[in-house]
Amino acid sequence: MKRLLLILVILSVAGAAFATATQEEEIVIRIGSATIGPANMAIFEDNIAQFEAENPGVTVQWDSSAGDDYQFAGLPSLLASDTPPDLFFEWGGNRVRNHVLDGVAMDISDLAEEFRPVLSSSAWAGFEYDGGVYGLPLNQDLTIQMWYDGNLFSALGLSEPDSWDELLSAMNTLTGEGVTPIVMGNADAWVAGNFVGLMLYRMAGNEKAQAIMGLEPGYSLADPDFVAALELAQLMGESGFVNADMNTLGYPESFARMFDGSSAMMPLGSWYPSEMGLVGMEFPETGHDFFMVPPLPGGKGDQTSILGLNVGYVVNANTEHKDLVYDFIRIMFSAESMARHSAEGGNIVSNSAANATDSPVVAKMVSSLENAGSLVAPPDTGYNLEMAAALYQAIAEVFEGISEPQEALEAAEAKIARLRE
Amino acid sequence: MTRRNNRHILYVVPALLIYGLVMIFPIGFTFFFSLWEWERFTPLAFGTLEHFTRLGTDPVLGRSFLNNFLYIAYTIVLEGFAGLVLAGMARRMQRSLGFRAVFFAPIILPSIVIGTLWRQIYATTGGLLNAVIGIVGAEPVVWLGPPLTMLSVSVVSGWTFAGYFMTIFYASMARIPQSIMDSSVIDGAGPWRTFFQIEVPLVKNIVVIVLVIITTGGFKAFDLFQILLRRDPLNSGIVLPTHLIRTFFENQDIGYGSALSVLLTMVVVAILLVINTVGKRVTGEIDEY
Amino acid sequence: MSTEARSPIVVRTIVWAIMAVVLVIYVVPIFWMYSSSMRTNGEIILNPIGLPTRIDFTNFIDAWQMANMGRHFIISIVITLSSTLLVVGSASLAAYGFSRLNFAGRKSLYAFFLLGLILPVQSFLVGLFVLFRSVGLLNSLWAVILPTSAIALPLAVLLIKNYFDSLPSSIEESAEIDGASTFTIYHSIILPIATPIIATVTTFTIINVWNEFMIPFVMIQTTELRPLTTSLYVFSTRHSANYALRLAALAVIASPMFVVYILLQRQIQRGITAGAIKG
Repeated sequence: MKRLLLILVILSVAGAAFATATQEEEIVIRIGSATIGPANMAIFEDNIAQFEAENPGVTVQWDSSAGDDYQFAGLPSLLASDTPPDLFFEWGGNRVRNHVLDGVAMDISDLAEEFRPVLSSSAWAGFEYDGGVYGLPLNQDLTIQMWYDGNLFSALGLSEPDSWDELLSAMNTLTGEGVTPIVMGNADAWVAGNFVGLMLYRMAGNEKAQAIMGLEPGYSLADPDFVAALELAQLMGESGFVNADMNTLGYPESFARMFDGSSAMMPLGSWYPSEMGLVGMEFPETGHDFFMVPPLPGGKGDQTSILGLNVGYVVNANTEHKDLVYDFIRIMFSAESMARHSAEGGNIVSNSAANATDSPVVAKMVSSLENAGSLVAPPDTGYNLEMAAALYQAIAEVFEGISEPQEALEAAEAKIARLRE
Repeated sequence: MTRRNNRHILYVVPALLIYGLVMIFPIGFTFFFSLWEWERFTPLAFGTLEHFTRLGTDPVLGRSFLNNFLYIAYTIVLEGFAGLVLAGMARRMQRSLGFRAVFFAPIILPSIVIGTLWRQIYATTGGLLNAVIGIVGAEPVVWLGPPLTMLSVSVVSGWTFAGYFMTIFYASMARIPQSIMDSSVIDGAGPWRTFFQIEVPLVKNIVVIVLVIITTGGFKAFDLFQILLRRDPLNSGIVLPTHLIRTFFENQDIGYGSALSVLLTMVVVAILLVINTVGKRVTGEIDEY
Repeated sequence: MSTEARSPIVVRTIVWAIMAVVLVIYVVPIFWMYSSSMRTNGEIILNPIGLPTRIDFTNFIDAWQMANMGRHFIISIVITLSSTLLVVGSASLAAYGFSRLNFAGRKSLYAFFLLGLILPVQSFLVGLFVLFRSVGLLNSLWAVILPTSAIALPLAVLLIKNYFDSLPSSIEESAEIDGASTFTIYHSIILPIATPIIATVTTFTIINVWNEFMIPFVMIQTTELRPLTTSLYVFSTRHSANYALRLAALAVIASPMFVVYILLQRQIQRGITAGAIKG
């Protein structure tokens, strides 16, 4: 019997050694992040190398999950684990607020002061609550712009549309040439969700849209203005203006369509240029460019609004290595790193970005932001996730042509009505 | 059998600990959780039935059940019946070993390889299937979207598991005495009749087991749905397990997620009971091989 | 052998034809995976059915390096070895106890084990996640090793116990007279005879744990601790714009499985189908 116990002990010790051998290090700074375009990731890797050289015995571990997995399951699970990240990526706004309420986000007002002169003043929104600063914004993500293939446009004599009608007629021309006007990789639901999300604000007005999506009592997703926005989506679906497989096509898969001549436009965020590595290209050589979504017919809201939000990094309130994390942030947000991010289009919040004249696309983003009447939050990062999922299903169904806008939104409202109480 | 000695229970303790702590104990946990109100990971109040009443009004749950039954119906044909017929044909070949080895092979691959490969095969650009039907001039088809979603996923399931069930049927048919086969030939029965009226009835018990595996397996299927369909914005291929995982891990709705989990457990156990009872009645009388 | 010999030639021809078609359905996707891996992304997009124009392993090497597969291979090996050790060790002990020894509660405990054969993973996943979260096991290899072991245990105990049951009791009688302890009998007499069934249990445990997707998908979000399956999920999602690279990554994972299958075909077939035939 003793030998039996002995064997069991050996077995479990061996297993434990196996399991922990891979984790045993000296001091580890963990960083949780959504996946980042290769160009920007290279900058972070240089930051890590520099930090590790300056701090012998300390290693930095960068955990990145696929974007949507990070947002939904990845980060909550990382935070819940025994080895939570010391510093993590977050979308400013509702999500950061939740971290503040949960006691996970550290007030870094002291560190923030160092960066006030470097970062533009609008960048802090979504990271400041009740006089505290709970994160450092790295970028202002413009979530929806219309990226387009400039070569294709000029070959067909098209120019950037200034009105919805012009956009429609451009799309008509494109379909006539056998080109799919808009490609969306909506298998993860948020691409079309963000695109139409912007249209919801423009149709209903920011305040009402926020009340509807913010689950305030007395409002409904099946609001006539929301229905009107989805009718525009329905028209695009019926006219063949979007790719027929949009709801099964993955987000990275959709990039290939912008390069095989089959599609002309893609509604996507300011990170589009930094994703070119996925198809093995540098952005400047693509001949791609963007325009902002033109004003909607009959819209009651601000027609110059931009969908987007500040994104940045939050320090875990429970970190044991606050000083090291601060040091790493100083490298990560150094003027040099920021300038490099700007050049890649991955940063437009630092003052250096505004001066980055050598990158026309970044300059254009900065000026678009300056000209925008308002910055409104995407449904999935600014609001309750269940609401966003229900809304996104309605949007997907309307594009697909399997539901009428009214009934799709009513079905979505039915799913979340209990959350309005 | 040695004398009764209660110290011998120590032999089963290690297995019991792993199995009990990791499998049985959390089931109790799950049931317990389903009766609580939650704010993310914080329990608020005990003694609510709201999660169970919500089961009755959840429109996504209805869709999940429907899809699950559809998937089971398709896979009974594409996995079970296909396996049965393949086994029958293999028995009528001179050298079937190579064929059988190839048909069995997919099951050793991880679901991520099978799912991703088929996602690529079904793709609209760069997809093998659309390229093949393009040869005869057909327009590209969105295989993983409605109305084909469930069928396309089931085909991948069939591709993976038909060979597995073929192997099981083949092994049990091989135990049928040659004399029975011979007498049917003497009776002048054709191969079709011999197969369905003699061989299949003689392996009825295996048929029932295969039905159990496919039916309960249908309620456990997660991998292929997640890998092939990703988040599936239309919910055109949502099934109970994906609905459960999304409710629990994405919405972090522990209460309702637990209730779904309890429901899933009861469905699987109920199906087993039904098939067992009916199956016993069917297979009871005849000699089995 | 004789069934087929007696089938009329017409029947045999038809059967051959159908089986050949089915064979194509099985071989083509796999062949396509390998052949496309040796082409460039642009070639695949232009013509998915084309054949590679050269033997080129660039994509395989890129996939291996970009997905950091070496690391994830090791993680998968660690998880699989640990689970298999736990399952074979504890299941053979338990089966010995249930089959050859006698103690209070033996029958009911055994029935309790068999319950595990019918329970789906999802019935305990939610509770287990919360449990692991509260004891800090999330995002550790234990969070995969323990559940995969627990899932394999009931069938392992059943199979090994049935095998032990079939052994005559005379086997241990002489040893008992010599005064050998039950444990000596277990490891020096019973276990050596049980090699075939241990091999079967080892086979199905290794394959199931190696291929497990859902449990690490739920339990491990740390990049460096992901096993091959979920790391490949993240990689293939991320790089899905590069069809050639993604297919090459799949081929790299599938190849060792095919090699092992070709070498150990009989053993693997027996292992994987054991549950259905004995259960």
